Amino acid sequence: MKTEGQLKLQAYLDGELSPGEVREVENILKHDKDAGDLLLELRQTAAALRGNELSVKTPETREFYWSQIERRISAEALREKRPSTRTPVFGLRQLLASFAGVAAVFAFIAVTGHRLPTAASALADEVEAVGDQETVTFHDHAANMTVVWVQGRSTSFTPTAIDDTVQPE
Amino acid sequence: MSIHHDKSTEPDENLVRSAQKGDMIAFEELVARHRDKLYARAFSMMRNEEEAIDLSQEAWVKGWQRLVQFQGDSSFVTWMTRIVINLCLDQLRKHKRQRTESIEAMDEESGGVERQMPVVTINPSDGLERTELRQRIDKALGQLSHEHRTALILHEFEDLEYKEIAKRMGCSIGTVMSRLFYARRKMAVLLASLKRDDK
Repeated sequence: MKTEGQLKLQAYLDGELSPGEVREVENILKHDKDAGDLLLELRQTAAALRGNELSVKTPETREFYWSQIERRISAEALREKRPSTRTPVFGLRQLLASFAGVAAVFAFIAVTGHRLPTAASALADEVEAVGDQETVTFHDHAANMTVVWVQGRSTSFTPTAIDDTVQPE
Repeated sequence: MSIHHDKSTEPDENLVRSAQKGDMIAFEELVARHRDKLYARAFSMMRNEEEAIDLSQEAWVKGWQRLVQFQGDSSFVTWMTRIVINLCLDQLRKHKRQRTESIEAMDEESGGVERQMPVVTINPSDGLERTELRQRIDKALGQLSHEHRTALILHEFEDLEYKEIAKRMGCSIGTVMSRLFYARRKMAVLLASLKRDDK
């Protein structure tokens, strides 16, 4: 007997077939002894199982078992409460606080005349040779000062200090 | 002065209604009444005492959290049993993911040897006391793969139809039929061999 037929036989036993399929299986059973034997085996096994599950008892006392459940319920309730403190109002307040911080920095810069640090100024000091080879500049960002050496005809350098805090016109 | 009501005589329906309003004492009574049934279902599926305790307790926690959703379409214990079954199935899926290619899985893919097994003529219940039969069934169940055992438990002990089993196990109806068939055939062989061992 093929697998499909075996499974149909089982479905017949379990009452899962349509009336047409039931008639089809009953016709097979009339002349197929193997099908009849298999159906008997499946039926006896199913009958033996029905209502014969071993009754197992909880290995813990009522009090201990419940205390563990109660603790879990309380823990879950606490965990659910925690994220609820982050309401949309709370989130908005945090956002506004961030904006206020940034605004304060800009206000400070505007009042004191400080420049915002740039990527280039992150370098503490830099030395720059100008293309014509006659001047060399040195930027000291910590001191807000630029020193320019202008090469004179006598090949010596003449340093000239420029205060960086004075904005060019 | 607080008044303690004895809840042990109250029917489940009343306890559920009280618990739905937040009465934990009523819920504790429901746990005490049905904890064995839930633990037994978890144990039959997991075959592990520790996991069965953990999952049955988890089911009670979920039951408490979802109690307002319980409409009374089925009995309370049936509703709770469905919760523990789902938790066990989730846990078994986790186990399966962790398992590398096992003999069980290969056996299922190939259809197992049960297809070719000769028909067992011995009636497993003949001449046995109910307690003895139950012990043998339990022993035989323990020798099945969890896929086969689950299909059998859900069909024979929980009275679920193929469609419902398929939904819960996350597989096709054809797979359920196949698992149930091999599980029954294997059980027939195992129960028969236990009988033969007696002689």
